[in-house]
Amino acid sequence: MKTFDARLGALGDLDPSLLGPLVSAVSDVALLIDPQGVVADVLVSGDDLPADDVRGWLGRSWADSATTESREKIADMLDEARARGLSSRRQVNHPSPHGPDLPVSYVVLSLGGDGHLVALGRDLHVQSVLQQRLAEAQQAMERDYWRMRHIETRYRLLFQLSSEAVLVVDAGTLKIVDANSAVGRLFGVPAKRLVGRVFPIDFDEESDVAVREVLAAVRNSGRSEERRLRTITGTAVAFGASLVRQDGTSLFLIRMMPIAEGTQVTTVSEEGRLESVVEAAPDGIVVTDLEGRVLVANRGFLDLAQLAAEDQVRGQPLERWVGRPGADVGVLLSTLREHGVARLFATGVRGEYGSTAEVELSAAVTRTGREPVVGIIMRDIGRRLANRSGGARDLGRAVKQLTSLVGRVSLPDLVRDTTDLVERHFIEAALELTEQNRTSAAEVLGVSRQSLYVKLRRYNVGRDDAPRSGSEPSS
Amino acid sequence: MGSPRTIHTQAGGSPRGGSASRDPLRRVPGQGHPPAFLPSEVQRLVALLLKPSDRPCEEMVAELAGAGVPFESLVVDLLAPATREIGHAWTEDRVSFFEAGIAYGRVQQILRRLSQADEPADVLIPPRGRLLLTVAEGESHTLGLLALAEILLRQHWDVVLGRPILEATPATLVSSEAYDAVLFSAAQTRSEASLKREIAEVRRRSSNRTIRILLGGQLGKLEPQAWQRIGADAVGDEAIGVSELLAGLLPSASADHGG
Repeated sequence: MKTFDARLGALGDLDPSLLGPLVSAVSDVALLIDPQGVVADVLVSGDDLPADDVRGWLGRSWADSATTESREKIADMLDEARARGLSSRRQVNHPSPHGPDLPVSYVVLSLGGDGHLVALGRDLHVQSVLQQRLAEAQQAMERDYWRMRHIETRYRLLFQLSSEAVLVVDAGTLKIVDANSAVGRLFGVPAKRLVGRVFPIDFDEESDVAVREVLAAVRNSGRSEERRLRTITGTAVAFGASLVRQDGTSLFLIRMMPIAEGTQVTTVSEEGRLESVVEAAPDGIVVTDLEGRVLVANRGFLDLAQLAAEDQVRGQPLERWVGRPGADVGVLLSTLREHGVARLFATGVRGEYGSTAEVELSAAVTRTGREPVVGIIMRDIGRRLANRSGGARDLGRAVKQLTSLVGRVSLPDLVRDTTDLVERHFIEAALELTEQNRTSAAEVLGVSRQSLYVKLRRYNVGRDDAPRSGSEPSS
Repeated sequence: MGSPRTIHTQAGGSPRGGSASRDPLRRVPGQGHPPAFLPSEVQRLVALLLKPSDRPCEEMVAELAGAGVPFESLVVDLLAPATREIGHAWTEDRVSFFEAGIAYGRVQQILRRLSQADEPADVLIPPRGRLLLTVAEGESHTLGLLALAEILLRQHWDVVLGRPILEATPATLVSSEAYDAVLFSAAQTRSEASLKREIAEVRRRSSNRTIRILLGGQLGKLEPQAWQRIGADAVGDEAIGVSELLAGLLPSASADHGG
């Protein structure tokens, strides 16, 4: 096997001792290749090259030292150098047992007569680090791509599953850009076929004008009120639009919700205010039809009825939870049919899980839509009753204490004590009810003021109270 | 992106649906002709992808998409051969790694825009089956997998991209969820040994005992019998043909599912 010194020395009149440094100066690695393509000698001058690995190529086919995809390049370079004396520069990757492939850029030079060649290589290690960074950046982009793809699919699914008809319309051309399945159902056309058509489509004449008004308002101010419109097939829809921007293009996001006949569509702002007040009200608020079937219920009513969601009450008879079955709600509805309003209607609400609440109802019939509806407000008066019955609870406890005396005290004495106790209780209740106004309390109790004063002294009640008003006689 | 058109299966015969042969004539948009672009059109895109600006290549593809060329045709017959050509140019040192890298990034960007513009409306159709697409251990090419995933999604497959998008190994993924098939994409012959080991592991740990394994990518072209040696059920890397191949391998996944 020839060595570099011997082989390069044959190149001409150059001093062989200069050739080694010359090769080192122009390359990081130099390979002497014999006519069979086997590595006959190596000269490693690059600091970053693993010299031991490179020396391991000695005696092996040069192509075998490279990765599969580089082998053809080596064959091409050898052929080219044999044919033309000098090959094109090509990048060859050598697999490394210690890490990533070792990239080297070679040019092959024919040494003439006996078919030996020399491959002069430049280490691309530094470049490969940059390449690795670029590859990693690309992979990060690809991961983001796929993540975004999933997010888009999720929103696409949501868009298509929405029961509300949603259209995306180019605000400039009014061409439909996207439509969900609900739009297709509303207009009786596959949603895909709507894309590209100019909006508005298939509204009755009056609604068509209204659509254009809404879109003009949205274009000018970015928002508009919700309108009730009608398609050419007669379906009433609540129509709303807003403006969104994408890549410098303005798009209308149009929502259409079929609405039951008779349902009032209010403006967005009014509806929003009213809904939030109704929803936040502590009293139960229910809207029913004239048969007492629930159309709408607020959170307050759901709490009274021990229910989680409005869906559980919608369409159900109100008397399932309110009043005695077959009685109270029927009476209330009769009153409403006859008088239009009902006030202070006392009844009870039974919760789904056994709770009961005393309630007071106020109700009215509205006839603004095609079908009249009943609005009912129900206030839980349990606390009020509990406050009033505070004395009654005391009375009960006192009677119980008296009962425990049975056997130790004679019946006449027990009756007398009980009578006194009851009389005192009602006098105190009357004073509480009249805010300590003794004149009024006497009236409530149906006794003379003088008689009340006697009893007050007897029971030692209200002695410390100052006279409440000028009309209050001093005792 | 992509490689041999030939598709082989362990089950024998060609996949249902028949020929993958192509008419080299220019495809007429909207007439259902076999999609194809003239080589000169592919070369034009390659030249545009290597230009300093992003815009010319994007405009060329956008113009074709606007003229009604279907998503699959743009991906399989234009972007894929253009990307392959850039790969060859890099392999032959006609372009640098960085030029090729930038061109790949542009292809990815174009693919993304096409995907967004051609989002299938029929997302409610139940998937034909769940597929895991992954590259061989130690490999990192993703663009071809993304393109294949986009095509399979449009053919109503539920597609999960494994390595290098996810760090979990294919065996881990198939043990935690039921997959109908795993497609391993490999570009290098030296991946054969690791593929053989991983495929055995996938079969052993899969929660679906009848999971099918496909080999895709350049390896199948370089080593036509490699798919049998590594224990795959089939080989094929023609993106459009993969769905048919899967339908042939998976009895429950009807080829005409969902249209």
